[in-house]
Amino acid sequence: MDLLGNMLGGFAVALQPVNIAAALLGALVGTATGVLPGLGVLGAMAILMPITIHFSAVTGLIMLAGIYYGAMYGGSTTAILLRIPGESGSIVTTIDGYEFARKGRAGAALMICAVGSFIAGTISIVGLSLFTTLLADVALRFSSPEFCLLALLGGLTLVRITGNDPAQNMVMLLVGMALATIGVDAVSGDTRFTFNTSTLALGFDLVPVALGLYGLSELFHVLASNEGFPRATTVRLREMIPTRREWSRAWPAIVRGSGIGFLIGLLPGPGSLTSTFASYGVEKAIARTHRDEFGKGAIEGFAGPEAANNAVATSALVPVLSLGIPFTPNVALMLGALIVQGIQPGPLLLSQHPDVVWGLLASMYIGNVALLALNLPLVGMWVRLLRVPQYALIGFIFAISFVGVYTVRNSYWDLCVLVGFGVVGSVLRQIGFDLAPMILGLVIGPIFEKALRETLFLSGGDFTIFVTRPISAVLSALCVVAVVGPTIAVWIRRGSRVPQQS
Amino acid sequence: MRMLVVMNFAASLSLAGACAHAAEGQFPTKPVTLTVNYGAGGGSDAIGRALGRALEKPLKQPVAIENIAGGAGTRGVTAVVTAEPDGYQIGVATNSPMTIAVHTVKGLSWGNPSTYDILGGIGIVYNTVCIQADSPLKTLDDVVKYAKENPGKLKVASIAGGINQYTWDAFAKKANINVRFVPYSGDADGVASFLGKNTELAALTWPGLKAQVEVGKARPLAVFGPERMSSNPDVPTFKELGYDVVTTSDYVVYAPKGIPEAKRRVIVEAVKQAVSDPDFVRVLTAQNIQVQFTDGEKMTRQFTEIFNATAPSTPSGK
Repeated sequence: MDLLGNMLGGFAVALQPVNIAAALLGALVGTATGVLPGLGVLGAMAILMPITIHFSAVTGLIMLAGIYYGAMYGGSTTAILLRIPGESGSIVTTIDGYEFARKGRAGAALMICAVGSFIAGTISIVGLSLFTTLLADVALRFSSPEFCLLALLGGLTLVRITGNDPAQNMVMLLVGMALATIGVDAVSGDTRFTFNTSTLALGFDLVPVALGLYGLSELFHVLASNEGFPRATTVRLREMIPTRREWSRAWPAIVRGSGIGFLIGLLPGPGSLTSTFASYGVEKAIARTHRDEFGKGAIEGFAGPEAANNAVATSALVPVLSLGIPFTPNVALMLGALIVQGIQPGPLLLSQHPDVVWGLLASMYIGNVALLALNLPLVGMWVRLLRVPQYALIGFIFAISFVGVYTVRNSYWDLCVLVGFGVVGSVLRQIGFDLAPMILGLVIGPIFEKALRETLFLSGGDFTIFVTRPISAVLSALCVVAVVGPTIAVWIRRGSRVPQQS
Repeated sequence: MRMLVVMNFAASLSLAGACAHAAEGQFPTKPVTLTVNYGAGGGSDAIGRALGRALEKPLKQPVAIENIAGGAGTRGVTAVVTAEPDGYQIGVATNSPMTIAVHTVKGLSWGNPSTYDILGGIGIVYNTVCIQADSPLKTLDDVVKYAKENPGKLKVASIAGGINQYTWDAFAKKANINVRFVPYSGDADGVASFLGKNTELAALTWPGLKAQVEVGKARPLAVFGPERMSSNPDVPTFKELGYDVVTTSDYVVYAPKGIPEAKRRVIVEAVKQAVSDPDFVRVLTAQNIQVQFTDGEKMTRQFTEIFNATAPSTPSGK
């Protein structure tokens, strides 16, 4: 019917040679930025955006979208091979993906991620094509009170994400949240904790902090120990293909991750990062037989999150295509590509420029297939990357990290942050702290604070707003469960069985 | 013989003069940097890039776009106004960071508009107040009347610390109404909250709300501009409705103070030409920004007015 006609029309647009080329170019550039640590998606999109003016609006949009989801494909590569996240959305993958690779299954891990990204991309494009308008209405039901509770719920549940003591993780989470308060306050515009310097007004950006904590500290670790990166001894096809047993564990996690990512992508905030934490948390919580494997190379621990960040890249387009409201800078940049062409993005985009919207959607099907075709043969090449002499590899990663971080905001301060957090990360690792909660705190801290203050402005200081709105009430209840649930579970276990060491 | 020498001397003098003149006329001889004080993506960036392209034609040199975000938009301004005043570093920004955020962000090396050089205004953003389309309150008078009878009951979604808050406060004071001000950090958040029916009113930019007006979700009550918008002449201004609050958000091109007059004239002339460039007009029009060149002196006066009006009552030593 109508949908089919629209979709066919979309494919007619997407299959034009120039558009196929744009999708391939975008996907390729995206994969490269994803693989290279520090070089961000936003930077790559911003650099290529001026080129889009020479093409039609739909061609430009296809290319930018290709970079966006291509980066989500590539981000896992260094996370798995070197324990250095290529994008902030791949931080979680450094936990289990890297451990899995150390068992000699690096190729299989990369292949699971590539296929998982493809499945997640496909599922969410179908969701996007079928339900855009409906989903946009759902997304609007979430406002400041709900964001505030979601951030709280995320913090409360994800402190249990790693094997460490939850109290220890909570400390790291709070440190991350405290760091996030430095700089310009998003609500009032006042500067806080800056000692009247314009440098500290910049605050701690996620990219240098994450790359310092994970990337640089890992390099320091490799340099200090004789252990080094895991060596790829042989790269035979047999070792790159996941076994049937591995697949049967991966695919349910991929499907769940896709769903989680799709829903989180509808909301404002850095969904590509939060969705991966959420997916990891869910996988760990529902794991029955392999629970003790988490942190030591559980397949679900990277298959789910890698699917989630790809689903986010697609569903983040929902608010922008249906309402004209960009919730993330990446999507805002895609809007910019339309504006440059004189197309006004907004709720009328779909009816006024159906060729653009449907052409983009159709191109995403094609782009995902292209990415899978591109990434599977690359797996062998990436694994061979580990055979590069360590001194060369480390030097290269150092250089690319510095360049990447500098390009984000053109700021020397961010380079100091990068190095500083490299040292901090090394020390914290040595004394046995987990770094993930700190990053999470840095990300959800501002969301939580801003949403809390907006909520209280909205309600005039009345906290009952958190239980009088239906969605908020459910989320509040979940927060309570998250706090008291584990304690009750311990009591029940103690009552029924001999207490056991966890 | 002597004659010849003199002639030679004169010739070389005039040649030198010609050379100097040529060198002056040749400005710029290398790429010019145009700083955007927000990150890539988003309205300011799109405008900066469009302006950069439009400037390349009259300047006959590449224009590099540099995004320096942070500090509520003040960091990019700092980079421009502290640069060498040689004409190779200019910036594009709106009045919010330069006249309002400047009071709240500490440690800036610049202050009131006399500490930098505004070369000219390039576009005007109108600010508006809209109400939910299905609200029984139809006009601004209805809203004011209702707000007076029910103090603190209506809520307005707006942006904190910028021109929108300043404008709304001025209006609320003139109308003597008490409406709950809910600040968001930008148009996108504010519009989303308004569409989710969390607030009855939205005091945001016209570009941010126009699309929602077109699909019938928002009804514009009035705009804060000096006169009605040419694109939507049916929307009245606050001034004609009896509330003398006239502000706009203006995009200006600015530079560090002290650029040699000849170079300055070249840039101003190029900006004037860029503003009539069809591609540039298209980009701004798509964002519902009124394209118009405004004289630098006039913009400086306008900026100074807002700067003084929003300054904290106790002088902070700036």
